[in-house]
Amino acid sequence: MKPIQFPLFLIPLLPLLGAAISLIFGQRMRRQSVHLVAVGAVVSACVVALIAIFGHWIGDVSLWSLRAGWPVGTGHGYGAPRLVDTAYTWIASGGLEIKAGFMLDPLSAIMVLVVTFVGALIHIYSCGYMAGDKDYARYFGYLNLFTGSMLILVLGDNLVLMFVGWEGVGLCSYLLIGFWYEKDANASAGKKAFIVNRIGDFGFILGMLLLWATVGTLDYSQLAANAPEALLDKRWHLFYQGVDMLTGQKMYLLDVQPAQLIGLSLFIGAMGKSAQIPLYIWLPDAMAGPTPVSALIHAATMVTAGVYMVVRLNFIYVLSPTVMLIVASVGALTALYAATIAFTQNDIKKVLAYSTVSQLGFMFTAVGVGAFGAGIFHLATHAFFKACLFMCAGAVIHALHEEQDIREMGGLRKYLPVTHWTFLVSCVAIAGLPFFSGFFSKDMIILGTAVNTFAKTDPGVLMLTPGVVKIWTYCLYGVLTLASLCTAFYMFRLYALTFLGKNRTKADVIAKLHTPSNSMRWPLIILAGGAATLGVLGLPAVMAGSGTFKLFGMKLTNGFIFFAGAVTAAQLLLLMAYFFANKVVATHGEEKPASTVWIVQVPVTVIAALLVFLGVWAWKPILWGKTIPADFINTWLAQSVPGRSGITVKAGYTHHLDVAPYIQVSHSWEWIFMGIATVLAIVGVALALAIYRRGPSQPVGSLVASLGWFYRLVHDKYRIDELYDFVIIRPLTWFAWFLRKGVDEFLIDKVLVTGVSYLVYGLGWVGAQLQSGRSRQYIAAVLVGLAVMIFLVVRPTTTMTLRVKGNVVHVRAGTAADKVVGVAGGKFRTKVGVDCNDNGKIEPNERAATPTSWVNCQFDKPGKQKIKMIVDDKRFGTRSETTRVVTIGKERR
Amino acid sequence: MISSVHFLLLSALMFMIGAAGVLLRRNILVVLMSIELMLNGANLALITFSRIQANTHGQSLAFIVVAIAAAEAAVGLAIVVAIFRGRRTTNVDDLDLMKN
Repeated sequence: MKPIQFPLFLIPLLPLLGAAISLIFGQRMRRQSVHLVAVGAVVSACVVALIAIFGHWIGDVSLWSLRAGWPVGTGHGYGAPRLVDTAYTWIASGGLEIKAGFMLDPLSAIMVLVVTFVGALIHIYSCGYMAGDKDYARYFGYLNLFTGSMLILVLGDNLVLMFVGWEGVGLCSYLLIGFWYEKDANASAGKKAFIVNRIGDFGFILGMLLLWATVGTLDYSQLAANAPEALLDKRWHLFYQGVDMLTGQKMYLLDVQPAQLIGLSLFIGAMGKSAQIPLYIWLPDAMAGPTPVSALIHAATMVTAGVYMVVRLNFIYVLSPTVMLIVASVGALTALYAATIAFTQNDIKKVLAYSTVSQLGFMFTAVGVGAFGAGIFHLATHAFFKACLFMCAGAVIHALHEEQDIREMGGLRKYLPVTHWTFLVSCVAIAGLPFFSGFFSKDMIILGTAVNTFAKTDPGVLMLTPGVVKIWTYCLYGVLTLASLCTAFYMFRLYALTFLGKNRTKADVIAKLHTPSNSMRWPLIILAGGAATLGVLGLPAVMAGSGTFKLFGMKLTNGFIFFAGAVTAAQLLLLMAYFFANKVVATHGEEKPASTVWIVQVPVTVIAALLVFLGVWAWKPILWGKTIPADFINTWLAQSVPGRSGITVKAGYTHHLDVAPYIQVSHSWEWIFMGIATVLAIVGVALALAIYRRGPSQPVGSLVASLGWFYRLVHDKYRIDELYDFVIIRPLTWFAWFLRKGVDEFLIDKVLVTGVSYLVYGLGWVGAQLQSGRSRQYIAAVLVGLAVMIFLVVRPTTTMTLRVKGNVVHVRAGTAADKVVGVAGGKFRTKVGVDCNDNGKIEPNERAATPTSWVNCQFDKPGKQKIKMIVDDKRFGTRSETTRVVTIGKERR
Repeated sequence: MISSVHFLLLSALMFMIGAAGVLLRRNILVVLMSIELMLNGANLALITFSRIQANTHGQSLAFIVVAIAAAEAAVGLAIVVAIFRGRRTTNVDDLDLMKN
């Protein structure tokens, strides 16, 4: 299917323009103008994206309208319908050509919608949250810059452009986390985030280089077409070690598959960006930034870039099941690890931060076992409920004037009703209670781990047979289920301690409590609505379209009953929230909310209406007899990610990777898994509510005291930061100190720079001695030179002059002062002899009469002859020889 | 017998004694005298070569050398007198105004 042109560049450009305006002119603009520009930029980017995807009522064709022609699950590849927009060729150097081009295919469509929609809501929320801040314009500038970079990341059609966006969001995370940089802790948190990110980026660049070295391109379409050919079954043998004695095989020091290396390197980048073990340490510290920043960066967008990257490059990851298993294992481990830490935290934002790390672990487990659609689905639902949770936390913090410790909260549901209800909805979603979005997305992931098999494993670092892999994935299932239980527990612990029970806040803080403004409330409501209803995207097969029964004369599917109930419940929540939002709650000294302007209220109302419409649409099948498709998200993503087992690479060769959830699972198993998940979620929720209903509980307190050191360890985040400090930071700091003192101060400054100057001074001093002004010295120099010259002139040289005439060679020694030598007589005579017949002795006929006379050598047979001339100089007492090879038979001069 | 070699050896000896004198003596006048000695050594060598080759080339060159030696001696002594008037020293080592 041919790609279609669309001005996609507008989508990232608008927020970037907004950023430029805010950052350059922001100081001089009024507040209203600043947030008009900022919110307007992101909202218009969202509108453009919606037009691109759904706009077939406006334009000729859009992504949605192209759905009709998609076959479901017919393998990977870039036959997906997509919109493209290539701006220009950015790099053209040697074999590398990178275009600055954008591509909107089903996968990036989901990402763009999530980023722009949730981003727009967060921008609106920030209008209220940051209303009192003096750096208003700078904040919105950075926020727009972040959104623009993230959009470049998801829309780019090659890895380099993705990396541009990758780095851009890393930079903006530094700028935004350290927004209140006057405090050292905030600046350090920003630095930590950026530096840890960069460590991951090293892996990303390595992966890019390896990809270019093996496949030769970095463009997604070309990679998808060429990578399987180039990387399948390819091995690199390096550092030949010889031949194994027993088996006769060649042995190498390194025997790797490039596909594994690439997958691992890119995953290291994802580890840094998406906060997996071991590079998650920046995320909890990043709570030092403003809460909307945490909502945007750490819930919805930046941390999901790693997941997006893995899904985007799925065709590379499926080539090495070993790496996929590693990804899944790291994800599952992170999920459980972060969940355990979240049990013990007392800062509302820290709990949410660890919850984010944990949920990202879920996403990576999903993509690791091949359930790419499930990973993206969880990404989308997580964006909604986590952003809502963070913003509710922000509302609470704002209301209590920067109080963040949940032990100081409690009973806030009376004071902050809207916040309370939206928080509850999002908690229910994240805990995975049935029919809310989190339930469906987590269920899809868990189903993937439980049923997935790697039909073929690649030999490599881990020698795994399919049997071992199967057991391993069952273990992953167990870990994820445990992590879900923990999630339900700690989220409801947070909820209970914050909103239930009696209020524990100090009296003066409560007296000054002010409820969130409209600009803060409406995004909460909308996001909560999304958290409740987004499950429609990924209904499991048992819940839609399988089996019908009649009710009051209407044909219904059994699963659909449940879903309709959930949507109704969500709509009732929305209506309640709407009423609470407009109710006036008594406060003291509340400032006029900054966002009663139309720019905020209009889009917010529109979006709310859209959500209600969605709920009504969900009822449509009941009213009109049609069904909602199951697994919509997998169908939607079918052409971007592999939809079924079997990637046909070459004729007759199929690389099997059975990918969930297209595994055929019997309906009873699906109900069983859903049942287990529901039961565990309910158990977790009930346990947490029972324990914490009235506030921090005594039994738990004594349990904590008895656990003592273990509790402290978990509370201190397993002291990983301290470990890193000891193992990595300190040696580096020592090394830096050594470089400064030893190398820079001593070696370079003292030895090289000062030393060179001393050397020059010394050489100058030596040279100056030549000009002493003393004439005797000058004359001495003249005489010494004269002596040297005479020596050179008079000493014996053994240059040989040859003249070949027929088979007779005339040889003569040449000295520079032939004539003079001839004069000396007696015992000072120089003797010259020529050895013609190569017998080592000088015969009388071979002796030269005078040093400059000719000696004739007679040769009888032609060919190469060696002639040796010996000069015996009695004046200097030296004896030297020269040998020349002469070819007889040729006239030579 | 006494052959050309001995003459040449004598001239070399005279030259070297003169050279040694130029290098080693402190008094300017002695230095000048040593220079004369070197010139005379060269003259002797020239005369000897003339005798060996049985022509007058060497003698004519020696003639010129003598003339030059005389002129040079005159000029040199004039310079010595001028220096002595200013500096009141005949020590060669004290004349180092051209230093550095």
